[in-house]
Amino acid sequence: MEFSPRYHHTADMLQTEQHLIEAAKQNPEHFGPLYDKYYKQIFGYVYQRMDCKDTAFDLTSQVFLKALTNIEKYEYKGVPFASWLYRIAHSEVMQSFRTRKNLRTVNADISDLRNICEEVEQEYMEEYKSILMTVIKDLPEDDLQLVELRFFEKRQFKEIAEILNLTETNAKVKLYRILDRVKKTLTKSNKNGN
Amino acid sequence: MGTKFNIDRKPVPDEEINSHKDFGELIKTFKKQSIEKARSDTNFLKNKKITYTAIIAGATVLCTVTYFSVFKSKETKQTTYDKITTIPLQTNAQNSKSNKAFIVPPISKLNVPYQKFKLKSEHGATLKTQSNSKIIVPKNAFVNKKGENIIGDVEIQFREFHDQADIIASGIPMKYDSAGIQSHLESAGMIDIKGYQNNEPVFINPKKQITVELQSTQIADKFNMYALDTVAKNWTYLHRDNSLKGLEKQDNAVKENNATKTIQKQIDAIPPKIEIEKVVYSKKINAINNFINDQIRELKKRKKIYMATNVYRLFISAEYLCEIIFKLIKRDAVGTFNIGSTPSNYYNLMLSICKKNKIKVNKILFKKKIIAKPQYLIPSLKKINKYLKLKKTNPISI
Repeated sequence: MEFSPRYHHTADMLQTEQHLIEAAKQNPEHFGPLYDKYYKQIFGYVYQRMDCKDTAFDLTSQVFLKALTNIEKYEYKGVPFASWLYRIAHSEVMQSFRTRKNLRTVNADISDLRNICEEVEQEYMEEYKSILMTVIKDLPEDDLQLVELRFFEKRQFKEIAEILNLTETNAKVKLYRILDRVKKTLTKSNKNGN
Repeated sequence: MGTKFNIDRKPVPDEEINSHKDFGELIKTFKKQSIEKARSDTNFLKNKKITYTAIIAGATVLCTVTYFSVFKSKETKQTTYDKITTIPLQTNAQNSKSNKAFIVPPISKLNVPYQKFKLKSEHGATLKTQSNSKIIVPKNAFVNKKGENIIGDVEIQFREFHDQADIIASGIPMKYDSAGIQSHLESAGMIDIKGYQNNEPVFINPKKQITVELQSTQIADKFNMYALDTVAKNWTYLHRDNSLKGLEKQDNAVKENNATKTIQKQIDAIPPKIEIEKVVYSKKINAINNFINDQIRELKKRKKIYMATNVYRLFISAEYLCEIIFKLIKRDAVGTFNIGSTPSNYYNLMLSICKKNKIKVNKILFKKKIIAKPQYLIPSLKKINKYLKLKKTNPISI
């Protein structure tokens, strides 16, 4: 499974970003470069969980408005600015499900489902598609987040841990427990099929 | 809450995503939100802690001033009358080369509104604004363009700016150009005041002053005072803020004025800030000339003195010292004894002395922290107290 390079930051990049953040703290007009840099990523994150494109655009704007309003509170403590934005985005998305009754949506490609099968050492079969969809849909929100971030958005554990405010090890352990349950379900269905 | 599962959904093209990017709109929404939030903040006025006084006289009052503004009599000579209006400056701005108004509120509906007051010019008045700031207008403070005293109703329009939201809403530029170096002013409070009679601007009588006591949450020391010059399109530096210390030294002309005397009283009532200072007492010390006696003499002359609150000693009066020595001699005491009274700092010592001698210290005795080594010189009195069965004593009580 290939990972998205979008999140990777060198020390220089982080430092440059820090300067941008400090400038934005002084003057909101200087938030522009950060907005340009992360707009697409945040929209991607929001839309990944939404069914309606327009709602996703609205929510993305809300995320950046909230970020700009609270940027004075942001302090670099080892967590990149992007993770902070993702946390705001997550909070906004969840709130929209509660208050606006927007439909929680999981978006995946067939290749993503294949990756899950590979991970649980099962060969992908067409009949697994509906099983996997049901299993994933029924996951608790926190578990679903982990699966989405790892398999559908192809993020590294470090990044997942930062977004979900977990330790990397904790994120791994949680995910492998989920996969274990998926594996058992697939094995069970395989046996029933036979 | 149901969950929908989409497989192989068509991705949104980059062009479409980019078409929704609108940073300008984000900033506009942010500003609008900030202003509304600040306006609805009910704690805003409760948070105000400090009142600063501005004396307005001898110059155009159309000024947006950081912190507060004190216009001195020198400036009076340059301007015959004081115009209490912002209109001329705005007009000048319109005539400028760029032909664009200098102060442009981003959203006119959100601009800081003027509070309006009516007063009889011949009576004067003390006006209280919504934020508890005060405008003190003396009797016959206004003249018309011919320099004649105005009688009758005058409408005062006043607005004040306290925070970022107010400043953004007003459109007042805060860029400051000093010898080509651009910087941003941080404001501790700004005022804008105008006066009209029958829609005609009125002027401040050159012999009178209007006082504005502006509420602010900011500490004075770090601020300078500036007036906005809308013709030069830049802030004009007036002077370093010296609200607490400096007003004491203001020009003699101002001192003679009754209105200023009132202000002077207010300034006097503000206790100086407690700051640490290195103090050296270099005079030769003897029974008559010593630090404490010097200070008492100053107090008797009603001069301000500052006494340390952070330096403790075992002060002892000569009488009490003699009494102890007699007791020791009487008992044929042998050995080394520390002698003193209850530990006290210099400030409390002075208070006690003044109380005993009925010297009034109100508004002339102030606390101060100084650098002194040792800060605490308090040897143990256990031995002498036990030996002579002494009780704890006030340094000047005996």
